[in-house]
Amino acid sequence: MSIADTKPLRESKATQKRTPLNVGALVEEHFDYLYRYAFRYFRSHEEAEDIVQETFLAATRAAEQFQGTSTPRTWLTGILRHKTIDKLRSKGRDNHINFDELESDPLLKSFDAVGHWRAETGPTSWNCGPDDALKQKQFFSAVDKCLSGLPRRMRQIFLLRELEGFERSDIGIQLELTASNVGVLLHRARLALQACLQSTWFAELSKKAEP
Amino acid sequence: MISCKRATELLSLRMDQKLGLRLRLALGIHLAICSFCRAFSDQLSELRRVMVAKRTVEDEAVEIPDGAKERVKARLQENTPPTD
Repeated sequence: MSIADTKPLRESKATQKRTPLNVGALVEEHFDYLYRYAFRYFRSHEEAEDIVQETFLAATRAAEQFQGTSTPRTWLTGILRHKTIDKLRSKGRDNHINFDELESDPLLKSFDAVGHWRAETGPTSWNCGPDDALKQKQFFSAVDKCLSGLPRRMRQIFLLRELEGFERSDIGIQLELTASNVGVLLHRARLALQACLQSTWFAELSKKAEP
Repeated sequence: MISCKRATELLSLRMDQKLGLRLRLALGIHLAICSFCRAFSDQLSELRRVMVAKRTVEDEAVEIPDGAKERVKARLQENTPPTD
């Protein structure tokens, strides 16, 4: 999947005349799905509502671009994804990451001076994953807490990679970062999440497992 | 011999693209003798699996504020040219 598939929608005069589209029905059917998609990235109800509205607006203006080759949901999600990335990019401009600072950042405390794991924080097996629904729910909320602890930009890039499956280079192009900077952020995100889950969730589990 | 820090960089890279022969070799040798990095490698795969599983559950749990849908509908109706 490539971000380039979702080209900006042209909003010409011609496309604004009569649309056979029933907006009300579209909103009724797809609003919840799109809202949750947006919320994943912005974690703000206000921003989610705004961008979903923009999405439907763009859809009504470009109704005839929808050829029925995809389902309405796929089509709408494509528009929303494009808008989401646009917004993440423009927000990124005033949310700059200092890559020199990252080198000395606390996420790297897992390693000693020569780059080996510290014995007390080194990864240990996670053989105790959640086995029932309630535990799974608690586990997911632990994951969520760890995600919230990441710098916003780092979290968004991690989500674009893991949930959307975008390539490093695509994320880089869209967010105006080099692919190698994207790689640095993904590495940090993974280290941070590993350390966080290990020290919160998995350490607690193995404590309880001991007699 | 690469450091654990470097090994985690390569493990992270391996989640995103195929490694070249030289890097595969360096990583393979490191993993053969480092149980921490082997555990880390498993955890990265687990993390990916969890993220996907979690998305499905979590998305359903997001509470959409009352009236959000109606507000958007109303604003769209104002903005949509009349169909004749």
